[in-house]
Amino acid sequence: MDAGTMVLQLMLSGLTVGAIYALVAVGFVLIYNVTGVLNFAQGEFAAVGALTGAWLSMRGLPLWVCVVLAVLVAAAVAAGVERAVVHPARQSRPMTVIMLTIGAGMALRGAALLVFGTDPLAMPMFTEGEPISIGGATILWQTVWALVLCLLFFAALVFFFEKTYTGKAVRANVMNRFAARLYGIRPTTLSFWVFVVGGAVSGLAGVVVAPITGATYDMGLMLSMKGFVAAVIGGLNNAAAAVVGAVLLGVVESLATGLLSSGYGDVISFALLLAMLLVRPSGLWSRAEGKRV
Amino acid sequence: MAVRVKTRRYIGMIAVSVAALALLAWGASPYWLSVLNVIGLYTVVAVGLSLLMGYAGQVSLGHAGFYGMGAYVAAVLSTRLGWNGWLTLPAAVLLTMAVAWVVGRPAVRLREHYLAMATLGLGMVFHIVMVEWEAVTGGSSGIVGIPALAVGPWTVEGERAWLILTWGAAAMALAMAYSLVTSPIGRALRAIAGSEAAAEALGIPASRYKLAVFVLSAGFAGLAGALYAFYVTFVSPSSFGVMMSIQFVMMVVVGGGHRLWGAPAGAATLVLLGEGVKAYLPALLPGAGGEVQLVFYGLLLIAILLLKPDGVLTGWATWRRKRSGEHARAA
Repeated sequence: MDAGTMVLQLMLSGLTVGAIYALVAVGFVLIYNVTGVLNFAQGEFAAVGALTGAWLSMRGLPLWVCVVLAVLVAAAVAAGVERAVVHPARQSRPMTVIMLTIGAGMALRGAALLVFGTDPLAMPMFTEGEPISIGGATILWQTVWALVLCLLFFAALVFFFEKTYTGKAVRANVMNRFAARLYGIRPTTLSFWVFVVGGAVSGLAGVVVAPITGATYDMGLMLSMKGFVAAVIGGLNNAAAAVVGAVLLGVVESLATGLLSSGYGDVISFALLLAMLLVRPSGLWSRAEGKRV
Repeated sequence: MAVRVKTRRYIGMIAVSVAALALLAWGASPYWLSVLNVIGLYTVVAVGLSLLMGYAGQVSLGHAGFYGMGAYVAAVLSTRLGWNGWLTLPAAVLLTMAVAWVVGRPAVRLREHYLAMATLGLGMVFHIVMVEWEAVTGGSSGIVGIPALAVGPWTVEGERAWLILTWGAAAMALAMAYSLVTSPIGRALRAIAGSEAAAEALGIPASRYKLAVFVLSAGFAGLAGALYAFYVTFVSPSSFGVMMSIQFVMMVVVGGGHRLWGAPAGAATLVLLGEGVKAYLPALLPGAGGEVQLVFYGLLLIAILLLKPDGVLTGWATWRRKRSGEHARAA
């Protein structure tokens, strides 16, 4: 494989990883903007989705059923976290809420360990078949699935925000929480539903990535971290920018891993986070720069 | 006035603690002495972290990284470069503080969660570097054969001798923290934790103070880590993972970040809890690995933060203050 093909290959796999990060990042951004909570358990929802999907597929259920159930279970778990942990603490200081979501994440990780064990669970690819070849580089069908499902989900999200009443309520709440309340939009109800959607989107990320990486109980923390880095690159308050940030992160990370050293991909993504915090803390595409207090 | 009364009370508490420690050091078995030593080391970390969490209103999820960095700096300098052990201690502290400054400077100016995430990432990166940079860190098997600390012809060996070092460091950390929080800087920090905007309006450079506290707490963690390296004579990456960082946070949460005595109390609780789990969990849940602690710790953290956000162990102090009708004037 010559250098050009290799770079193409790396960029394609970076795109796949980026799509997964994008799903987690969108969950982050949604929950953060509606509730003000930076949810450290976000990646755990993905782990729940991945583990549930893989476990069900090993029981011989049709694959599409597994995927749908995995997304639903992740959404239900997220809803449970919102009611049990975030809702009672809605008046607490941000630091307390951060630690609460960490506690919830730990409890989820431990519960996943108790239920599914330490061994990675395998999940079959969504479709069998030879990998596709593009200019010498190959992509798995699963990659295509990941991209298509991501695009479908984002289309659904755009529809939700632009066309549905609830979506408009969420946007109103993001623009001005106080004014939204005056119009009869209940922030606590929105908080619940945004956790459901955020959990579902993360669960989808998990179940899509499971056939590629396998599903393990401790995959969540890293996904949380990557989702956050992607969201910071995008600016934390713009879901579309977070998607672009996630793809960027995936590609950079994949190139760094392939061309430099396999162990240091995560170091690169963290260096990106630090650089962003130093140079453009409000995101790559922000127009106004300044302190966010 | 209040401070003077409090100082007198603290002196009493110190006398009692020193007496209790001496009694324990004299009577305890080697196992319990090692538990005491570990509590002493963790107290150093927890004191720094409680300054950060209780006084500057920020949380670090990467203190195990600083702790590990201190340990590795001490290990590398003393084994590979042949430094005198005592000289590696300031080197470890200064290096961790420098790293904390670089990472903290951009992060503290933003909202709380930026520092939380940045430190979480930093802890992960430290861990990766420890595993991957084999030439220096020895990879996942770590570094063995760290020489003992020596004072002239005497070497610091055995659990009893170590008690002096670990608890000496803990006492030093507590004393530094005490003088910090009773100084004008301490009042400024409390103002920042109360309302950053109001504090800045009064001319307190909030982000500079927060950064200073963060760097100081990293230095404490670095010192504890360096001592740990000499204490156990080997280091490996597995001791410095994310779980350890969260345990440090839990020590402060259990002890209550607003009171300095919460740090040793929280450290003791977590260490004893860990030992208890290690001893009794196999009997209760056969076949369950140590990681099952996660569920337990997670639920404990949630329960404390929801029900007793000021810490469990200092509840009696609040109760006493309420009884005497004095208003919340936390020290």
